[in-house]
Amino acid sequence: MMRGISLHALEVSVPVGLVALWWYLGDTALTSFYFPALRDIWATFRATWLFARVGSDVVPTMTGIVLGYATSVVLGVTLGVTLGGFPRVNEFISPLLEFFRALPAIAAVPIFIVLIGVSLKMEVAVVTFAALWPILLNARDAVAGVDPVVRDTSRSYRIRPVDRLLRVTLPSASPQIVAGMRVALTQSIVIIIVSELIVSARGIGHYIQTAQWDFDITAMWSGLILIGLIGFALSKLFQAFEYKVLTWHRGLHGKAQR
Amino acid sequence: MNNALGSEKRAHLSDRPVSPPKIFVDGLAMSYATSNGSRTVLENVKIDIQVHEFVSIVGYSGAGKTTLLRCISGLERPTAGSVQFDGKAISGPPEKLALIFQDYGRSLFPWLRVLDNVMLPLRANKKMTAKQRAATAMAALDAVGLSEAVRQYPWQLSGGMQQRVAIARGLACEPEVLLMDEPFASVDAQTRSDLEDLVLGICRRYRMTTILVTHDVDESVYMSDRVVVLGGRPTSIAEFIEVDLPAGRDQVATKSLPEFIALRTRVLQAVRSVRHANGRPDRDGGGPTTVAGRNPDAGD
Amino acid sequence: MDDRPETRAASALTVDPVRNNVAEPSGGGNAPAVAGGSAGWRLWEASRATRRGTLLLASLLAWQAAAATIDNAAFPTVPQFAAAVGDVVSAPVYWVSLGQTLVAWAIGLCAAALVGVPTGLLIGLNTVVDHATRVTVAALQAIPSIVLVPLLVLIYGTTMEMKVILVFIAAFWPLLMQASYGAREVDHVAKETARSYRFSRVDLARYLYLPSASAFVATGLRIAATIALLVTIGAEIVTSAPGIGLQIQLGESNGQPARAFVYFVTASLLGLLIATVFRRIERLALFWHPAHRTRQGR
Repeated sequence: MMRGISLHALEVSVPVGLVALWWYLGDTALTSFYFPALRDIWATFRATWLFARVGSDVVPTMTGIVLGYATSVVLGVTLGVTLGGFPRVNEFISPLLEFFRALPAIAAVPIFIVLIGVSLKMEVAVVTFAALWPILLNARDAVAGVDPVVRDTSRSYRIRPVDRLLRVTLPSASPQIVAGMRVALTQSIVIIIVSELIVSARGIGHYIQTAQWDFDITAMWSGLILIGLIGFALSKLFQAFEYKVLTWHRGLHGKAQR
Repeated sequence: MNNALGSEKRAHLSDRPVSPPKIFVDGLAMSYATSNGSRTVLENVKIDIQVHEFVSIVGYSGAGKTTLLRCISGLERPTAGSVQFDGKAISGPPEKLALIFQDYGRSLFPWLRVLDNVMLPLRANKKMTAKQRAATAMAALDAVGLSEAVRQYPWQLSGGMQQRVAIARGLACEPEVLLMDEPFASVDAQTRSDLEDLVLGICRRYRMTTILVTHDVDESVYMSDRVVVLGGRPTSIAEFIEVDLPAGRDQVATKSLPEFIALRTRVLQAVRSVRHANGRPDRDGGGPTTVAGRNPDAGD
Repeated sequence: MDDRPETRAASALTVDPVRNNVAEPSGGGNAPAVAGGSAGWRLWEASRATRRGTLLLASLLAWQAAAATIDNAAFPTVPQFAAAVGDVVSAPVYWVSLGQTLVAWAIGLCAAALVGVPTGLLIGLNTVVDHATRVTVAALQAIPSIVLVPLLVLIYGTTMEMKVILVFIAAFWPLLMQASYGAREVDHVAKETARSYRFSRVDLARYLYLPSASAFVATGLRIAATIALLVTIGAEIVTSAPGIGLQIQLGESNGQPARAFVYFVTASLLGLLIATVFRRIERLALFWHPAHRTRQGR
């Protein structure tokens, strides 16, 4: 037990220590132009993001992420589940899907920009395009790979089609779908920032880009740290969601591991 | 023959007019297409099962018992012959039939609680309200002795309890025919005897026709009115063996009866003789095509 | 359940010789049996090559239809694209750009493997180090590496150096994580067995930890390789550093969408190639470790 406590203490104290070290080093002369004092970064951070530019920059970025991600989830699950249920169609289309999965979605950003123009619609479209594939393909695989025993049980007990979809197929596929959703979340954040870095009038990415042109290092760092925090917060939110939805899955496999 | 266990032998079957069989397997055959041409697993299987009868199907592993059960349950369509339920040929899983799978861990849905698992098939019944469904499910769980486990998830229960949930799920559908595919194979021996008695009791109480597929010879004799021995290559009926034991079965008493031992030996011999008569797998299939009766290759 | 069919032992009742198909990891391998049928079904039954050919044709038709309706400044039609392919591929700048992308990708990836894998192994093997670094790694890993581009551009300019460093940072984390899983996830029973046979440290490393770790590292390499390509091209797009990404950006902004598309398709084919090659490597390293697949999913 003591070992457990001291390990946890270690977990927390090391990062805290590193941050303290950075702060301390900033107060001495050991800074470079590109790695400014943490105190200065914090000052800029507080002035900018708490809460002056939240409305003008954080909100647009978050809107793009949320809308794009939500669209990709809805589309991905619907299309993936449908495709998984029609093996012949799936086998036919599969090479095309593999192609889309392998292509670097980032490379499509310039195309989308010219195609749709600089707008929220464009951002949502490009995020959806990037985040769709992990969800769609995982959903498809999960539905196509449903345990034959589950399938036989459903048939044998003559379970209604709607019940089969909602109470059997979807729950059975949910672990894999959720795994795809996690990958898609990271993708959404990356794509939004990239598109804002390339061309935008607002957003966190745009803020960072402007800071680069202005050689405003502390501003750039504050933006970077903000994105890190947002990414961290979103992944924690996702973890909570996963925890809730996949309780049964954890229990099932926890037991199996004994 | 009278004895302490009562003189009623299969009273539930006697004194009845001969009626059409509940389940009639009519010249069923099953072949699969493989990369080397077609492979016949079952050939000319004919079984008639009377209503309320308890029939066990035994055979060595790979004989095709499972395939046969899948055809009877309607999950698969035979390549020849048919399965008739109450005189009508089935074309899919029939309504008054419940199938208990061997692998309860995968057949019970882990994302649903026990009660929801048992209630799920009832949702197709438009004539029941939610309350009635829940009541029926509770009654079924009660019949298997699991009324306390209602809110739990299947994976929180032991193997024996999970299989009981699966049985309850079948029961809740109020079937006339119960099919079981080696239901106690994945369960330890102590639990197995409890489950055997539980199933026997349920089948009697609800007056169900039962087909049990098992590899356990003792179990087949203990539980049934008749044992069907499968064997040969391709598999067909090797032998029908009537189980002439008193209807009140008891794990200790019945199993020490000389009649039990004799029957069990007979079944075991039948299974083994068919197995040894098969020799090497080859093209021409070997094994006789019998409707019912002895297997000449067994030296009978 | 996220088991794959090929790692599950099917229950006796559900073994189905014809229809128990094993789905390929890419999910498209099922060839369902169809009993006779109309011309439509005969299409499905046709050989794989015919199916692929038909798919290609259908995709091209869909592309053409889309291009005809959508703004042509961004989206070339199929004939425009086909015409551009010859022009672009025959010009030296195509191959130079390809090289510029691939060189940054390769160097960054190798460097990340050389540093990330040993570090990950260390973390996985030593509980103290694991707990000490856990939060820091989680926090740093959460920052999408592409976000560092402006900072790196300031420090290094839009050069190959900048790209290599970016790729290194991006590929480092998956390799580190996977290596640490590999060291940590050695099967308990195997460990106990080895210990009861009194394996020496060297033998433990060689027969127990190395194979297990290499399976996970192979997965990590695949993930890192894909990320590395994404990041390289992304950096080229964002900063106009030389490479495929720059050419895509140039093509689109100069009103030469067909040109941009040639590079875009190149990027996609590159991604496909890398994914296939590394998946092959992963499968080789994994051949003895079936449980690994179910853990990782995709």
